[in-house]
Amino acid sequence: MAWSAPMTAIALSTFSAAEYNRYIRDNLLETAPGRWPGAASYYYTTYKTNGLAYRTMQESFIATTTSTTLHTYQDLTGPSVTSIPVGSAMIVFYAVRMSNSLLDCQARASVALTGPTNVSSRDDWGIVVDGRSATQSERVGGFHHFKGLKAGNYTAKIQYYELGGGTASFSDRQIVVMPL
Amino acid sequence: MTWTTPFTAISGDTVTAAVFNAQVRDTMLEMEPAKAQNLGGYFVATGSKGLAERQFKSYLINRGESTTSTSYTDLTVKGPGVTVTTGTSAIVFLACRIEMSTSTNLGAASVTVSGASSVSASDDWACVLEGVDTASLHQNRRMSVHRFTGLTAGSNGFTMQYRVDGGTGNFQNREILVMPL
Repeated sequence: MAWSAPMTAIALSTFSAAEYNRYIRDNLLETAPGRWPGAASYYYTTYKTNGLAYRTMQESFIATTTSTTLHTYQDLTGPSVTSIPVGSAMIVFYAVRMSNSLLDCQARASVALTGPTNVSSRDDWGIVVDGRSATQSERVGGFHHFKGLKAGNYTAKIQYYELGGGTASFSDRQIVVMPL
Repeated sequence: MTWTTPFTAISGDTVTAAVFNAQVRDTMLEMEPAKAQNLGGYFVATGSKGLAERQFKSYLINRGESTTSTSYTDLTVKGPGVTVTTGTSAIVFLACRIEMSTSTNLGAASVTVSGASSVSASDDWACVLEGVDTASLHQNRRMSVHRFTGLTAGSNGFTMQYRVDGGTGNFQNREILVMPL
């Protein structure tokens, strides 16, 4: 079924069953109630002209601390969200508590996507803690609007790196995704 | 066209073309599928029985630029900013990497609204960095969020602006995301 622009009735013309089915039944089935997925907490987004898709926000949280001494973005046991259905875009919010074992060295985190379009972690939307005393931590948040994605299922994950020569530590790591 | 509360049919009555057009055609044209025109759009109520499609808008400027202004100002490359159609409110997320020349001063990035509405940038919704050791000019990226209410519905522009309270502040990786309501 697909949406059809509603017909304009003409006085004294016959309204057929085929017209009812196309312009009333099938159109009502394209509305939000008609496309309800059977559970609460969904929202609707445009996935094509005159087409609605239902979506839900997803999240993942890992409290445990993990560390790295490497100077490129890398995986450190997540968190990640998988099987995210995307039409064309996704908004990702994330937060991490970060510190470095050395004075004035950096801890960084960012988000990468894998799927029909792959997007590597970048400083452009990354979060950074820098210039603090050794082992002093801050919990910092970030976001990014990933646009121009090919439709399909995605995984979003937080990645991490250290800059300065110490050991960067990361805890209370949370990611929330809003697919569009 | 507007939404019309569906009439109640009475057995034996005739449904005229005019009734069909008002009650079925025009009402359906007020529903989400008819208004779904832009990928990633979502729907908000604009008033009694009215819907509008809205879109998230965002912009990112990576270029780092500096200011010594103690009141909110544009950088040489203004923004980032986006213009969207809103109702009376919008949620704005902003983020920025901030680097200060002195550890005793703060740098702040905020948002101003122009167009149908006029709202000056304010510390109330800024992301702020202060008190960071300036050896090697350390950078920290921070975010903030604000829900603007009481806007005049229509075309509104949301633009990031910057200030310090002393010294020189450098701002880069500047990002704004607007959710119009």
